[in-house]
Amino acid sequence: MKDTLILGIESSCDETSCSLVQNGCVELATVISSQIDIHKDYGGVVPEIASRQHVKNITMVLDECLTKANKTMDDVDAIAVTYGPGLIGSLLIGLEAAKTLAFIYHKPLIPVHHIKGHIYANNLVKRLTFPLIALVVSGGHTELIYMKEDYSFQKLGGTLDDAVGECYDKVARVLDIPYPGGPLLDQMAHQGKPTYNLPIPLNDDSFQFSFSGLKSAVINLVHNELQRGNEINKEDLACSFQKVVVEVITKKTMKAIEDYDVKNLIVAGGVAANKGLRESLTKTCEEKGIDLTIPPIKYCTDNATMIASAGYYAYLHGKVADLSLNAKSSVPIEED
Amino acid sequence: MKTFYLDTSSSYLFAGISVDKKIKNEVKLKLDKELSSFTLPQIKELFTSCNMDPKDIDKIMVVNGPGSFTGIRIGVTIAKIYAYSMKKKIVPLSSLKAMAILKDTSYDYIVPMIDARRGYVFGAIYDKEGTAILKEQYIKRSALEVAMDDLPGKSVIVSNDSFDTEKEVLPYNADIEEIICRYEDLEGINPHAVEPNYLKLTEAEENKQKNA
Repeated sequence: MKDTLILGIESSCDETSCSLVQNGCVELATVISSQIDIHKDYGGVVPEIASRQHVKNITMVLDECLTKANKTMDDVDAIAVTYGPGLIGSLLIGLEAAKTLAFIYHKPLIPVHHIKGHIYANNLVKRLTFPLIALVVSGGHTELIYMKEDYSFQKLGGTLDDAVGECYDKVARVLDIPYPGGPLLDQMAHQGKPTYNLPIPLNDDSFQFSFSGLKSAVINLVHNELQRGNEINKEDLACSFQKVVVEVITKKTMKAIEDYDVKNLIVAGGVAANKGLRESLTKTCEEKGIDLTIPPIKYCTDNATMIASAGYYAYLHGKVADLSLNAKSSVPIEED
Repeated sequence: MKTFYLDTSSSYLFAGISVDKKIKNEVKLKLDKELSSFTLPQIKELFTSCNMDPKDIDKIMVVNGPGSFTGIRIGVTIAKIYAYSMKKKIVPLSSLKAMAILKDTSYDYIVPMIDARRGYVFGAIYDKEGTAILKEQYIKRSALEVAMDDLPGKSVIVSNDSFDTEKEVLPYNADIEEIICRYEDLEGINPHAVEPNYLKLTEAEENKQKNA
C-alpha cells in the first residue's frame, strides 16, 4: 500500500507548529515555535499577541518542517489543520495557511478537532487499541472520552467550570509562582506533604469534573492564613492541592474504565505531563491490569504532529473540508 | 507580468488578477464576519474565471494594514503562504495608500480613514500623486479633520465607515487596476519578512508600557 503523507498545522493557542507524519504514526519532522517567553511577561496568553506571533512565524515554521523532512509540498497527500476549539484569532492563521496550501496544490483539506489531535498523540507512541478511554487534561480541557474504534468519540463527561490546567495556573498565581505555573506547581508538590485540608471537588459517581470550588478554597485558605499572619508552606499547599486533583481524576477515570469495560487507557493534553497524575494512573492501572499509554512530554503540549496523526485517520474516514472551512472557538467533540 | 492583488483589511474583500497591468477580473464584496469563510473560495473562483492556475502568477500584492487586525492577518497569511510556496516576493501595500487612489481627479488631497474606535482612526493625507502630506497614523479623527482644514486645496475623506462629520466623504471602492499599475513595480520582499502593519500595539502591550 502506498504511504500517505499528511502535513499537520496547529495554531490554536500560543504555539505555531507544522509537522509531516506518514501513515498516521511515523513522524518525519515537526517544528514548534513556542511563544511562552513572550506571554510570560503578561501572566498568561494574550490572544491578540498570540495571533500576531502566528502570522510572523507561519511560513518559517512550514519551511523549516519541509526542509527538515527533506520533502516538498508535492510529496504531501493531504493537509490537516486544527480548526477548533481554541483562540479564534490564533486558529485563523493556521487555517488560512492550510486552506491556501490546499488551494495552490489542489490537495485535500482535513479539519481536525484539537482534542482529537491530543488523543492521537498517543498513536505516535503505539497504535491505539480499542475500545479505550481517553482522559484529556489540559489548560482548556478536562474530559473523559470513550472510543469504540478509530475516529469514533463519545464524550462521557467534562469539566463544568475551570479546566484542570487552568486551575493549576490560577492556584500557581495565588502562590506567586511565575507563568506557566502548572509544571512548577507539580514540581513543588513533590517537595511537600499533604498537610492542608482541601475539599475533593465534585466527589460523586458522575464523569463530570469541577475545579473552581477547589481553586476558591485554595485562594481563601491563602488569604485567611496571611490575614492571621501565618506563613504559607507553598510546597505543602501544592502537595495538598495536587493530591485532591489527582485523586478525583484517577477515581473518575477508573470508574469510566470499569463502567465501559475497557482495558486501555490513554492520557492526552498538557496536564498529561504532570508527574503526580502520571504516578497515580500508572500505579492504579498496574493494580487493575489496564494498559496505560501516556505520551512523552513533547507530545503532551500543543504540536502539529498529533494533528497530522489524527488527520490521517480523519482522512481515512472521509473527513474532508472545502475552502469555506472556518475556525471555531468551541466545538463539541461529538459534533465534529 | 501576471499579478494577484488581495485586500482583506476591512469588512470588504477586494481581490484581482491583472496581466500586464490590465485587470482580467476582480472581486469586490462586503463580507463582514464571513471574511475567513469566503476569502479563499472567492479567490478560487477568481482564478477559475480568469482561466488561470495559482501557479501562473508572477507577483503577489497584499494590503498589510492598517485596518481590522483579524482581516489584515487573513490577507497577509494567504499572501505569505502563497508567495512562499511559489518562491515569489510580496509587494505589501498600505490600505490607506490604496484608498487614496481615486478615479475622480478633482480633489487635491485625499484623506483615507479607517475607524479604529473610541474616536480614533487610522488615517493619512495624500496629494493627487499619492505623496503623503501627513503620514499614516493612529490619530484622533477630530485632529485629522483639523489638519484637513489647513490644506490649501480641495480635500475629501475616503472611507467605508460611517462618521458623523461635515466633511465630504466618498465611499471606498478599490480601483484595483490603478492600484496594481501604480505599485506592482515596487521591489517585493521575502514572504518570511512580511508582517501586518497594525499601527497600534495590543492593549496588553500598551498597559505594560504605561506601567513600566
